Amino acid sequence: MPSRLPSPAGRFIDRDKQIKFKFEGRSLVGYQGDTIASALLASGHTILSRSFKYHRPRGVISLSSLDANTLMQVGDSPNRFADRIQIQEGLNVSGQNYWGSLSNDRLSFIGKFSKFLPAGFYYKAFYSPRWAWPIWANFIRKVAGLGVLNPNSKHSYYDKEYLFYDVVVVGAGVAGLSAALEAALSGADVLLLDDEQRVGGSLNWGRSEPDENADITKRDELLNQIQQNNNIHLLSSSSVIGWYTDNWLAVVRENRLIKLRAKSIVVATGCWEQPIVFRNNDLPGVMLGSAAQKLINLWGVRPGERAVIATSDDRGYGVALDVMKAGVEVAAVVDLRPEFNECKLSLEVRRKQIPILLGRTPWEAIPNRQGSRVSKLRVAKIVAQGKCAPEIDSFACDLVIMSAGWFPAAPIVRQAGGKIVYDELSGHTKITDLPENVIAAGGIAGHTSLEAAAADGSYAGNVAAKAAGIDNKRVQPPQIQITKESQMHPWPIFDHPKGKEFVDFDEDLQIHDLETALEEGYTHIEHLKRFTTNGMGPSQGRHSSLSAMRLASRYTGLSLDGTGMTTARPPNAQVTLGHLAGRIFEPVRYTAMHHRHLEAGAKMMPAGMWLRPEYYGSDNRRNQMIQEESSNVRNNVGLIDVSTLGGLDIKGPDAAEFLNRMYTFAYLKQPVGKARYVLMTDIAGVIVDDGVACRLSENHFYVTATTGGVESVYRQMLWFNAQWRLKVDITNITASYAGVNIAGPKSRVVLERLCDDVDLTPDGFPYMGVREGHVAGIPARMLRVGFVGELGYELHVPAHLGEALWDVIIEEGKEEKIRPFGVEAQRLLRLEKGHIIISQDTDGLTHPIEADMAWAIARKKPFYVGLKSVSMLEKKILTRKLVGLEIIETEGSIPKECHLVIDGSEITGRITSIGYSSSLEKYVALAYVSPNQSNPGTIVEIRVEEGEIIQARVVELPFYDPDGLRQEI
Amino acid sequence: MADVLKPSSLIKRSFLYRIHEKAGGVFIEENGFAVPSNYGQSVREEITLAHQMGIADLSHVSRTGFKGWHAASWLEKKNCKFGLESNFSYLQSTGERILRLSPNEFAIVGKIVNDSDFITELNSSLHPETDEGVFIVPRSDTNCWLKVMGVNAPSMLAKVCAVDLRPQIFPDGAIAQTNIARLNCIVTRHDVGLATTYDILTDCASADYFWQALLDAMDEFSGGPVGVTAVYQLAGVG
Repeated sequence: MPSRLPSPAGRFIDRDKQIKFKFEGRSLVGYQGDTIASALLASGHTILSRSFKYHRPRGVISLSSLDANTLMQVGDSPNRFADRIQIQEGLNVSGQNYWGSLSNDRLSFIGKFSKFLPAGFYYKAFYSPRWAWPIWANFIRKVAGLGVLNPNSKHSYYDKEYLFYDVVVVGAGVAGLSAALEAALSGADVLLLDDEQRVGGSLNWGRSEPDENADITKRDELLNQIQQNNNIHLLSSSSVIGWYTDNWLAVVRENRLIKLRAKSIVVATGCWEQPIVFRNNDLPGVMLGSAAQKLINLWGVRPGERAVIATSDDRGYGVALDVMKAGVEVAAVVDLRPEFNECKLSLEVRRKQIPILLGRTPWEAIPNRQGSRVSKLRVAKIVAQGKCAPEIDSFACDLVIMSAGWFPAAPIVRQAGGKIVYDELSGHTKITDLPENVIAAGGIAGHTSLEAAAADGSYAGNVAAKAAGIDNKRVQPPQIQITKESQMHPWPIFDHPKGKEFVDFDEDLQIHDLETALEEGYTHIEHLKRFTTNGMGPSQGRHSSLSAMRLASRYTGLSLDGTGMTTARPPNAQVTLGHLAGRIFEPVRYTAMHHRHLEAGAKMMPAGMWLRPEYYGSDNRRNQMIQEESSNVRNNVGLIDVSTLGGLDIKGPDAAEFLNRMYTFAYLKQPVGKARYVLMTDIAGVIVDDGVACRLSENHFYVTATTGGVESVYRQMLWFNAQWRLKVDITNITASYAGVNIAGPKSRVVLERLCDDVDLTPDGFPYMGVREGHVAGIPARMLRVGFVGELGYELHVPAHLGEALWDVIIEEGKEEKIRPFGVEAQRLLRLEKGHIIISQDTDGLTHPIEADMAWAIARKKPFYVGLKSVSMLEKKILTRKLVGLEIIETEGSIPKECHLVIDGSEITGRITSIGYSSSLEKYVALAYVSPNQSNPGTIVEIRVEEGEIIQARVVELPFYDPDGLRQEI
Repeated sequence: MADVLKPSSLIKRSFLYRIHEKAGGVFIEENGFAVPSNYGQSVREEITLAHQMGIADLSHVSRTGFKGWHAASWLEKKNCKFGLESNFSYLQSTGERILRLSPNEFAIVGKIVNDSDFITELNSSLHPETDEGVFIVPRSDTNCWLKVMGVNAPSMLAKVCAVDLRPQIFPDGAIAQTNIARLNCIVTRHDVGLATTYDILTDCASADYFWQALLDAMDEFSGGPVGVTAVYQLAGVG
């Protein structure tokens, strides 16, 4: 039955703006400001979900986005709190965890077998007989899980934000508002956070006075002061999901994860209302008092027609006044306390002649015929802890409101090291053991009346400002007034012979589930939690932990404090993987010529953070393009972008000595104007990088490194020189220089057209020579190196001139049929020359001897990084060696990189590089083989896919131009 | 009608010139580079944008760096004025700024308007064979230079940088050597006119990525690129 109250009820809704949305395929209408839950209740839907295990119908319990009762599928997003999400035009909402319909769930029969599904059932069942598991698995997969994940749903945009404040106040109820004001007045920069859309906490919906407007008036007054204070920044709809060391808070706000650092924190998160545990306390229509007040005061929804209000403190009388105001007939107020406590609210209820039953409790809720809602409440007299007299009063009602008191909402406090101490005599809690810069304030600290909470909030704000380093006057702390109005009931748990007294609504746990676990020995509160899953649902024990503690305490005889609480780990609120991933930053580096490559049709490939042209042309002509590009280098001239190669300037009087220590070769006598190969080993003698060292002057070397290795090489150099203290400076100038390699027999012809201040003749600029000059007026470091085995020049120019250099070379080389070539062609060309690529032809264990690079080790020098290890490795028996192979059989499968070289049943090595050489008209490869397979002429076997064996012959390296005549012309 | 300047007609090219072209940049020549004077809006509109949330590419302006155990004394001999405090920027009487990055490392950035030969002369006055313990760092090509401006700049940067860059914490002249959007950056607070401004030096090879990352972060503040003419006017010249 629709139950929207007439205006002005409903502070959050705008009745002028109707919003249409869909629920379970049906069109519904709500108002702007409605949550999904409030709109559904307003339109007569009382069943919002089905319980996790028994598929019992569930309605509103807390309306605080804390429990599984309001979890729904919203669009593509499962498990969203319907009491948090506001309706929007066209929103598509459906229930979860049912088979059939929400009102008629075929799986609800499981509840009839609850006796056979005790706590720990999952741990004990399904093991035998073994043949039954596939049947169980099929059934479990069908019924397990909540909601539907759409893997094709569009990715949402999430990001992060870093904030810093002197004082952060978490919770904007009366205590939080007061704390923020006081801290700001002290001069602190304050951030006030609240997880609700509208700040004010219980001031928005509660009633602490007979005057229904007293609380909201107080809220408006405080908020007005907050808004006028420039020192306070207010963030609503912001949930603190965790406290971490040094007051680092993780906060979720909409699609943003805020990483927040505070000098001090005031935690004013209030308390969670606790349910009464009695038979059928989970029926739709049974809810907490705060939920009923929110429905009435925030969204103008009448929660029922006839109510019984069960309470253990004076606030329940405020609830009674609110429901009466909403036109609900109050059949009775059932006060669990044995004596009437006179206060303004209780006296007002009495004045309205509402029956008040003292020392009684709800004993059993009776469902209506359809089982969809409570229709009657049976009330019994409490005669002892958890025991009732047999005489029962029955009340016809469709609304049962329950409240067993309030428990501190303290995850943040507990993560910060605080403890909740429970005084069993007074029924009161307090917080202890907090660090100096984390202050609990208001209800969480035991100040339950508005006046006390406000005073405590102000005090906390003052202390927090002081803790943040602000020199202010200390105010005196308010004293906690122990009154009956703020007591928690010591034992609101009433066993029923027929069970169904739910302790944990999320997990469908009843009293006997916990008792069974305790009897089985799970008496430690952490064990009890894990064995029963109590507190492991969305509510994280907010409504069930206290009852579990009480039951454990009764069993063990320990006090509640002695029983302890389970660990309060983050996250404290719902957080998506999107929040944690956030805006993903993936830096990418472009060379100066990057866009020229794209314009030339390059297929780009990642190389570390860089993108490099793999080849130029369409995907379906990949191999052809690679062959054409390499052939053009061999026959004409090619141009490749080598800007990604690492570049390091090593300068200073000890530059040569430094290189002599860092690399295996000798550099002390390297002439100026010459380049020399560099090979770097680590302290274990493993090859880690290579390149060339160009001596530009006596004290200046320009050293290249591999694209992927330069950062590590740079770090190693800094690290070692921090110990050696040589007079040398190391600068990573990789990005400063754009580089090209113009290679091929016609490269000199092209370059001669562009360069007039360097003698390019073979004698004037010989192989492995280094020059500084200008190319088309662009200052360049010029290296005659031969990685691809042809006459070639590497030109390194300031990065901002790189594109212009590329343009002019392409233009001037047209006559010689110049064309760009990519990384794949370069790999093939160097393979023909037998040049290794570090990390492709080496691995994390390769040392120079087995890579056949002993020639790159200077034997006479006393030290280089890795010398000791390499010397030791040389003395050991070699286990593998890098050799050149030519594939003998080319009719069948072609080996690929990492295919295994075998010798009978033994694996002796692997292919590291392979490619078809147009120049040689055969497949050539580099591979590790065993030393006894390494002699030229040896036939080795390679196992390829499907176990096929391919034969290959070991040959001398290099495959192409063994005398190096082409590169040295 | 005057010829339209195409960035690719000059040999000096900013790493971002294509982005400026796509954004509607109207180019003028500065220091040998084609620089976006504006992005099709009036100068007044771009100044308004800069006061709220703007970004400008100043990569054409001179800059250099020196480091080494004698770098500080060498710079002092060249009449450079700076204090002992590292991570602070020191304004020179000629308008350049010396960014002291550590006791032995300095970055020097030129004037955004009327860039002089100060930096070129400083570079050429270093003689490696005789000036021991002083080494040049080619900042012009290692780093691009972006200027982030406006009252929303601190909030925008708070989305991409874990350092507190709010004006009350990070005063004019302060330097943070930190990470923005996962890139190493040197951030200097250097206000221009009334706009809260941060100069960011970062990897020039990642300029394209970085520009897009900042534009994405400033989207919620309706930020956008600002041409140099607006920047000059904010600086009180041009």
